Amino acid sequence: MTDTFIRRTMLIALLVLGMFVATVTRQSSPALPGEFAANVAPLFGWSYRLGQNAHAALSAVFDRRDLRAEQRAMQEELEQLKQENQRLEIENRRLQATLRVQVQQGLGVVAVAPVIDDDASGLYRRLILGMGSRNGLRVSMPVRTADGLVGVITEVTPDRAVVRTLLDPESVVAVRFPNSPGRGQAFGAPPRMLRVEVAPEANVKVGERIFSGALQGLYPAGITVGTVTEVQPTSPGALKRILMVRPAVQFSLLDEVQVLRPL
Amino acid sequence: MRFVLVILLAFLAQGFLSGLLGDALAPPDLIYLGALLLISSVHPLVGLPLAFALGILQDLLSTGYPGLHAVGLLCAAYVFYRLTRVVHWDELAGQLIILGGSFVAKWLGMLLIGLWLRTFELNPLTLWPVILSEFLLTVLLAPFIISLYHGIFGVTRNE
Repeated sequence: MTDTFIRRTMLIALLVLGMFVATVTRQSSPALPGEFAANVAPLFGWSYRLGQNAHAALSAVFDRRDLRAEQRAMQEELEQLKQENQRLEIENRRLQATLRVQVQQGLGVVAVAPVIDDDASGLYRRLILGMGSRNGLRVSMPVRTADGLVGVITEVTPDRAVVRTLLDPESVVAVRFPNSPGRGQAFGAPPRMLRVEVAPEANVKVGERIFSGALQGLYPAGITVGTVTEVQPTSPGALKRILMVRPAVQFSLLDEVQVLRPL
Repeated sequence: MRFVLVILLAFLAQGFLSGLLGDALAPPDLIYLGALLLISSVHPLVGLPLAFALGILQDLLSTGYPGLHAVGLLCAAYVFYRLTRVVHWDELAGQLIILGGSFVAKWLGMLLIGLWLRTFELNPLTLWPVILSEFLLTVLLAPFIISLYHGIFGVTRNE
């Protein structure tokens, strides 16, 4: 017999043996090899557990790396969202202020204009708006914020407008008092106060708010002008009483104002 | 002694790689590779029953059908002997050809038993990711393991 013949015979014999073993043990599988494996498992099982531990360790390393990257991405996203939130809060404040003015003024709001500068002189108290005649702004238009009256537009270029604030020495506003009849006139008293002249009989107290109050003039009636901080004593026979008023608007903090239709 | 050591190491390494790779990839078949290493230095009349016995052991340890891996390794061993007459086992290209051929033979033997037992789980259409992963990883590791084996035991083919 040749070697090849023996090989093939052995192959076929073992093949048949394998099929026979598989057929015979099929009914008992996996009980039979399972029993064997259970007895031998402690011998080979530790290497499997070692591999599992190595796998878990590697997974932990890679997961931690993933977590770091994810954390970085989330921090960046958080920063972006914070900035977006900040922007939305500012926008919200601006719109709410505009809405309050809109409610008070009806359809009188012409534009919401940014304050881009104030005048350079130490004497005048004027603001420069980032809008002009191209945006519908005209001379004599009153300017206010949700807090109160700001002033009036005195000059307009196509892209800019100048606002004379209440603090300007040339500013004169007719005012009224909530608890007292009569009117007064508020003059600008730089750097930060208004000087109000009223009739000596006017019963005005410190802490009262005063409002714009001309029946006809530059400003609509009823806009808050400021709060009385001082009532100066009057001499006998005086024709006027002097009040010092702190404006309701903080001019140095203005970033936007609402421009109203002129009366 | 060498046979026992190789079989022991093959099963231990197989367990380690199975645990390491987890469910991501099918591990390389180091039992198959160990069987080829062992039979490469013995006569086919010894190698064929040896591969068959190793397959039976693998079946018992893997709680599968006894005879499945036995016939698989038997077929692989037979093809190994056939191909070593055509190409050289000690060269890289020869190793790749022999490994490819015997690997296919191993799976054909296993599928034959699966067909014989009508176990429809052994379907190459559904098992192809396992077969592919197992083959690629086995072929990838084979040159290193073969050179390691030769370095440690210093044996050459003896047919």
